[in-house]
Amino acid sequence: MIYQAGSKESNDCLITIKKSNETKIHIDSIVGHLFYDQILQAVKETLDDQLVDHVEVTVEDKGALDYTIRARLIVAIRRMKNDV
Amino acid sequence: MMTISDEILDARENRYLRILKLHVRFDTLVSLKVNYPGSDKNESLVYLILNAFNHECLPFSYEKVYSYESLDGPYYLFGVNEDAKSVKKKTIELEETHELGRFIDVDVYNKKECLSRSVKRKCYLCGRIAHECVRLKKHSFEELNDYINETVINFYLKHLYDYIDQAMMVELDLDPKFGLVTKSTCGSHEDMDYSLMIKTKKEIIPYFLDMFKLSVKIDKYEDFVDDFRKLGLQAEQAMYKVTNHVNTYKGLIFHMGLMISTYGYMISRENKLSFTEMIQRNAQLFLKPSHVKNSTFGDVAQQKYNIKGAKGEALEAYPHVREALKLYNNQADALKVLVYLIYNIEDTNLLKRSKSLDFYKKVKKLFKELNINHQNQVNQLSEYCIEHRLSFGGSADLLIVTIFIKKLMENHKKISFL
Repeated sequence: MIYQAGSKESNDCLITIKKSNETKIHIDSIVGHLFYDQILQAVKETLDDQLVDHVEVTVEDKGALDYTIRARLIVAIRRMKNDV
Repeated sequence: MMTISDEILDARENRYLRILKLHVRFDTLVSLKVNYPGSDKNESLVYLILNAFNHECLPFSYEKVYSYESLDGPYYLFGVNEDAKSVKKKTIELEETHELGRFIDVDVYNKKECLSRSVKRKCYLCGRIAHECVRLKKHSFEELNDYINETVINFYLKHLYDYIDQAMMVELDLDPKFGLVTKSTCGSHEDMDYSLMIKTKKEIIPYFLDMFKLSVKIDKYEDFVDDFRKLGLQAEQAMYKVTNHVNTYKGLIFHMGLMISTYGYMISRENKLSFTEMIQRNAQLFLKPSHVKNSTFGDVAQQKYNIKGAKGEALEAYPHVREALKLYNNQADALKVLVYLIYNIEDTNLLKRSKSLDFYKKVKKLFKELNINHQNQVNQLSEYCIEHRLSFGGSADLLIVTIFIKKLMENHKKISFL
């Protein structure tokens, strides 16, 4: 099952998450050339905070702030957990 | 617990889900929203920006439009049956060229994919790529808000000035005009002439602009009636000063004050009432018995002859202006509208000059029988009016109001006066 949160609007991001054998993070960002590391950091930290591993996360970023990326990821994780 | 930011994010996601759902019905979907910083996405500036984009003037044609209010601000979704790529190209141009285009986001979706620009948007403060500024938090909310506020208010004031000026000039330049002041004659008014009218116009318009500025930032209209009235009185004083105590546009100051403050109030927020309903309500606020001194000739006429004049017209939400709007398409219709108004409205100004109710009725009859397509009939009746010192200030005021409202209606979908 794939779970998602967010949108593809400007200043937002669409996050999809699914179970996986190992944790993988894909980032496609319109500001990736400058902020890839920051976005990756935000995703990793949020996964750690939420005690989540063994997931594949995809971030389609349209210029979201870290706050938004974290919030979207938390909601996607919640949706995944609630469905289990 | 959800914070306001969480709720804004929720509202955004809901919009996205709506778009996905609507895709069943339309290949191309366009969302139009305002790009405003901070957590209050329903600020008056947001509405002013969104309402500056009249749907009829958007660069694409749509099958259906959906309007929403949300914590992420008000927005529209358009179901479009046109190739998404070409729509995107045209909406990018709108974002780049419209005076307020930099403050809106027009997203175009093709089969659930949001098309992105090849050239990224620039920050309007510093010219960097906008997304970079956002992520780096280059500019404070205050800095952004001040810039948006100044640009938006100036945009509205500039256009408002033109609408008022044009409406007044169309009336003034109509000639012959049944005893009213024109370029070639002062008509039945020995104390006025064309240049005096122009001078007064220049003096009073700034007060109209001040009324607009006030109307967009207030919370409840009813709490600011005295402030609007004060601006109206200041406009009157400025008029009397420049005319040396001649009443050139006093009635107009009342009508336009009511129209402009209601217009500004309306386009700067979400409304439950229509423009017509709001005009009526606001007219009642201004003309509450406790506020009205029975001092004008109009008041005396109402008591003596039950001719209600300008105030009656306002209290009934301008039934004759609403009718006149159906007759008015452009400047060429000004004479037709003026004659319609002269014949139909209860004009205390005319009554004053007629000196008797019988003569007043006779004059009305002359206008009923006038065929405006016959220039010599128009000329003859104008000469008759001047000879009898008749004039139709009340009708001329409402002609200006009609032309002005027509302009507002052409530019804002929200303003309709039916």
